[in-house]
Amino acid sequence: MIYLKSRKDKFKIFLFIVPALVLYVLFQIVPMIGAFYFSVADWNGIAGTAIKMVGLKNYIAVFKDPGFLISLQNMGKMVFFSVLFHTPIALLLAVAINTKCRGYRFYKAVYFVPTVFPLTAVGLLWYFIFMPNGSFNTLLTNMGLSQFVTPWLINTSTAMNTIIFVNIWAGVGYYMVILIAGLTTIPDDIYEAAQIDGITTVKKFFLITVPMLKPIISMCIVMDIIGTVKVFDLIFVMTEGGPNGLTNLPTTLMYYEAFRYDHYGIGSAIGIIIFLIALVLTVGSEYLTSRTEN
Amino acid sequence: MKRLISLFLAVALCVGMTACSGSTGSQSGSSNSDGKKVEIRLLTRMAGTTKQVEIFKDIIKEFESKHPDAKVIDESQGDESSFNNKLKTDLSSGTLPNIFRIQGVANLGEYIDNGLIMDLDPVLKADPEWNKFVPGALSYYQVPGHNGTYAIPMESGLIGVYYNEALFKKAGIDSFPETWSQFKTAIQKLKAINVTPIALGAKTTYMAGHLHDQIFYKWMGTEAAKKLGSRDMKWTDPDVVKSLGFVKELNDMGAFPSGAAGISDDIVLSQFQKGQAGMIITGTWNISNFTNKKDCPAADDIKVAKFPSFDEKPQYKNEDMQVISPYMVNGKLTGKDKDYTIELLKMLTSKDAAKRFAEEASFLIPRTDVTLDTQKVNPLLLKNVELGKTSTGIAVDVFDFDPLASMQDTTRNAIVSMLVGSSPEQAAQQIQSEIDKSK
Repeated sequence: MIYLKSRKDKFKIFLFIVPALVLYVLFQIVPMIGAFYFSVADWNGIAGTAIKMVGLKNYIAVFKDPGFLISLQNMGKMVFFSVLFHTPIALLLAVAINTKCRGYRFYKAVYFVPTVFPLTAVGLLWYFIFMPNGSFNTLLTNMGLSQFVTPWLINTSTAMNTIIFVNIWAGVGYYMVILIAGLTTIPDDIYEAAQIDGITTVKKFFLITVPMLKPIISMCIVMDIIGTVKVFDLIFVMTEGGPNGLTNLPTTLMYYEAFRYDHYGIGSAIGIIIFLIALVLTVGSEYLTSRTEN
Repeated sequence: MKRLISLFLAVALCVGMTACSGSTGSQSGSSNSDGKKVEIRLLTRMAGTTKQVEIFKDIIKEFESKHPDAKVIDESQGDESSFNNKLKTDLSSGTLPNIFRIQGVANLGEYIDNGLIMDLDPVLKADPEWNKFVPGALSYYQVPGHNGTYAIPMESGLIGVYYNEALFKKAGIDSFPETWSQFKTAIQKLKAINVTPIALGAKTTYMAGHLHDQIFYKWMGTEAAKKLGSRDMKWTDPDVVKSLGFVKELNDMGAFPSGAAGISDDIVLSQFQKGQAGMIITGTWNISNFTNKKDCPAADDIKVAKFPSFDEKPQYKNEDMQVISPYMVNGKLTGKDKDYTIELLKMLTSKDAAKRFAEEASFLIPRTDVTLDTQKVNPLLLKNVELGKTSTGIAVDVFDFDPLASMQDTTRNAIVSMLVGSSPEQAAQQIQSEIDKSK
């Protein structure tokens, strides 16, 4: 803990904080309050017209909408599978690359590349692969596996799973880099001591690497949850929420309600619900990981 | 040094704050009393690199050179989503441009009530030479329940069926089908020679919507769309369900590419251009894509026709879907801002402009006083104009007459749902429940 001696020191530190604080309040806190205000109001989106307070009516309408319930289900599925696959796959890749095997720099770059691309570009790329007459179906046909050819992005049983796969593909590199950074902080002495004790590589991974990386892993999970709850561009580019709302997420639905249907109240209510979900999931996962640590 | 750093931070903060504090509540168009230039902001869909955009920009330049004290800020967006985002933001922040466009008719009431859209009747009456618009197109913007005309039609044309005559001949179809039963036979014949009968990419949902619009007008007439909007009819009425059923029928007989619901419009357009599909339902805006042989190897074979009518409904044979796009003027304009905006509007829709747009860009402004040079105009456009003249009733999308903004997506999504398994009854119910929900 730094002890601040004088008011002058305090003032200087305050000066450092102020720019970020002002931007944060202006572009994060104020819009958030605005969203909450609009979520309990009815407004037609025309400047100067009356904003009518309607209480929880918008929230009730949102939860009565079957389209929203589908989007919620999609989000739950997406968060579950992203958490299930992102960090474990990223961890395996990170450990493999950390062995400094031949060409590890190349693999590190290759696995990180999808993270560098904007998610819209990634979405478009995979749309061309998975569209009904896209390259994946052509590949299946050419390999004589035409019985597996299906319109991946419009079939009820495959549409959401395909998007989840793309989301995992696009994110693994990001978590891998974080975990590689974490791995470099584990002292070599521990591994050497384990080596002398004759411990196997698998045991080394589970008894040294994973416990030592726990704080980083839990951070990755929290970031994954928040990131997945916020996914918008991938859906917007790959399916636009279609066919018929099948692949909507609350984020895309929020955009459609506010900016296409002029339902600013309902759009804001969905925004607040997304915020609460992200908050609960984040706090919940923090609690779970800290409990297991204890 | 430390002092210098804190000084730097303080200055950076001030700069940041100044940048953040935009001028709020400013009306569109700058004030001109202080000698500043008159700013005219435009928000149209005229963006990109097409010939029509080039002409549009030429007219703006001409206006600016005529009025050195005016500056035109063109914020037009080609992409529909970007356009809608910009328009909604302008509406909600009270910074509506001088000239803009809003899709639909019935939903205009709220904007008119709030004085956002100018009644152009006095302007039209004051300039009889300019007021030579096709009456049907102009009256499209006479909004029910409001006196006046609230837009100038800046684009029109039949949305018809563009077909590949060579493929039709190869399949043994001598002429374009005029009735629904002939249409279905033609589809089967095209399928028999392994050609996609109708290029329809319903990931871009308007394509499915436009197909239903065509069927709806031929089955029930354009007036029925108004009745749906005024709630005198329901989407679940048997005839409306039947109109949806025809889309399902086409889907079930394999008229569209496989997995049509997951394919976007540009992909099916390219299939049609390459001669891999027999027909595409589209409007005049695509004519330029059908004439360039480099992009469109099938250019020589492409012809245009009206959507077939139903044998049992001959009275609706010429009830057609046409595109009508508007220029609307900000209702809050006054003084020089207003005068200059009106002048620019007139220049953009004048007789000369209409002639240039049609001859050079196959882009049709619905005016009655334009004589086109048949040598210069694309034959597809000429045919389109000829077909359009026989329309007894015209309408754009069925939802254009609906006051609910969400009906565009609701109707189109429900129609797409039939391509992935829903029944016409379920689709109708889905649309009707959106209406019932809003009551």
